Amino acid sequence: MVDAPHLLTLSEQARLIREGSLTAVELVQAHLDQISKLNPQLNSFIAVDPEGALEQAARIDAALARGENPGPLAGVTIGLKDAIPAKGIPWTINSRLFEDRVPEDDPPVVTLLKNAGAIVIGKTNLNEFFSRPTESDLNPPPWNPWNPERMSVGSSSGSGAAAAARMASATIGVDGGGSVRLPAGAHNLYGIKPTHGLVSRTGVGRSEHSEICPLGFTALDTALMLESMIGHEPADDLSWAGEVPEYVANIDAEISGWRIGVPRVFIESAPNESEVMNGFDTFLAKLEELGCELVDIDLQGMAEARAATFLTLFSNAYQRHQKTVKTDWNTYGPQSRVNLLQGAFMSSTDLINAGDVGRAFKAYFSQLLQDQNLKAIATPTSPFATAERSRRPGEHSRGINACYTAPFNISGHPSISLPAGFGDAGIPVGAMLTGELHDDLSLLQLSHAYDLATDWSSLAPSI
Amino acid sequence: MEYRTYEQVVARAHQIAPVSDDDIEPLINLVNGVREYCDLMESLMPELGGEIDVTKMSRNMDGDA
Repeated sequence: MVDAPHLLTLSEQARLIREGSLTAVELVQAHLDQISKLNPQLNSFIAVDPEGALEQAARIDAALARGENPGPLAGVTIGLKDAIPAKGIPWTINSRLFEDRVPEDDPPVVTLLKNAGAIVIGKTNLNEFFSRPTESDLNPPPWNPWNPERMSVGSSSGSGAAAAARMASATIGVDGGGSVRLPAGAHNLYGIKPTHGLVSRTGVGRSEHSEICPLGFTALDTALMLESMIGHEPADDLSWAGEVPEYVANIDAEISGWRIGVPRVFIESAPNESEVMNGFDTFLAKLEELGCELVDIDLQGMAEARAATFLTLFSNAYQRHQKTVKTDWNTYGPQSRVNLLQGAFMSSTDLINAGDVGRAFKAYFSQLLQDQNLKAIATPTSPFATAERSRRPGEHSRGINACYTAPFNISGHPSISLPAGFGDAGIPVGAMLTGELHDDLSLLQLSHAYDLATDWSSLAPSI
Repeated sequence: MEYRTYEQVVARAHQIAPVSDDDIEPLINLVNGVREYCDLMESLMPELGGEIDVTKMSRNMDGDA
């Protein structure tokens, strides 16, 4: 019996289960106990499946006892953002519209995770339809375990909070403009938005810019999760059919000499809080200590690409809800229903313009990386050190909290948020690396080297 | 983006959903942001046969420098 197995990293949990010194049932029970203890205060989970999780854990323990290999994630638990369906567990998107919906099937990404041995322990909280959080959502917003008087940044807020509070081995979120990288940064986690198309959205809703992403305690955990989530879906025209390197087997790399671009002019134009910049400077210093060469770069088009991302998101959202907002207006929360209408005020030309700007930025950014021989660029994850600041109405509607993250949604480039310290309120701040399309491996290698050279991933909230 | 006045936005809102008076003010704020973004996109479009040039785009967060 391992003491407090929920405090171990996912990679350690998986290794101990494979070796037989921890059972999947023991780990699931430890996470269920943690959920029982903390969730009433934190609201991280909005549905928990104890029976299903324990049943699955018993099956994995039995398979291991028979000498079978139940997969690289055998026995570890995951919390799924409730934007993603999972068989037999309510799928509400935190909306009263779907209060009673229970899916009968898993989407491919959940099937891949289960085939790798992962156990879905429950569904994590989110803002209703990825909007702004309000107390009138079906479930109230989650609180940040690093300071439970502060809200968690979203929209994958529950996924960030649940992972940080060790209620699951790792969590899954969805990132349309920063909704995984921002909570990863605000919860001292590693959260990667993979290259567009690597993780199929089949069964989750088609989107050209929104990615299903893992959040983990360590870079290695995140790599292990992502590797298990990738698979070509022939029915999905956006799904990547090309080769993908092994992340975990190749995660140890000599990063000395790798060139990292730093767009200082752009960064200095953002309303960064001092704690964010302190964390970012420390992050850059650590990369230099690891032998990386920091290169000042002239980065253009970030504001335009951010605008293009948001216009596309607005249009997609209204397009999906166009019938229901007419018939069920009062069933929506007051924040999300108004947000959902934004796309109705755009013309088809506006949407095509946004798509063209996004494609131009995508080509430009790849060319910039190539011309300057950069492995990645480095920025803060968010200019703000607390959720409250990022939710001021004017700032939120202009997407300022997503000024670093959103441009890379429409471009499709891989981007990872890494822990970079703590702000005055005790809330973590993140730094971000963004690299070339389909070079997710380099980001994971950089993150792993950084992780091994820092102590952030060994810290857990004292709650 | 054709909805430029308060009246146009309110009329469009009533056309697409049973909005209440309380919904209008936050909606107007959001649509102002959408209009800014749409106008920005339009300003970046090239002449017929041209290409969008990112190297002529902004270097700052507000998109104005």
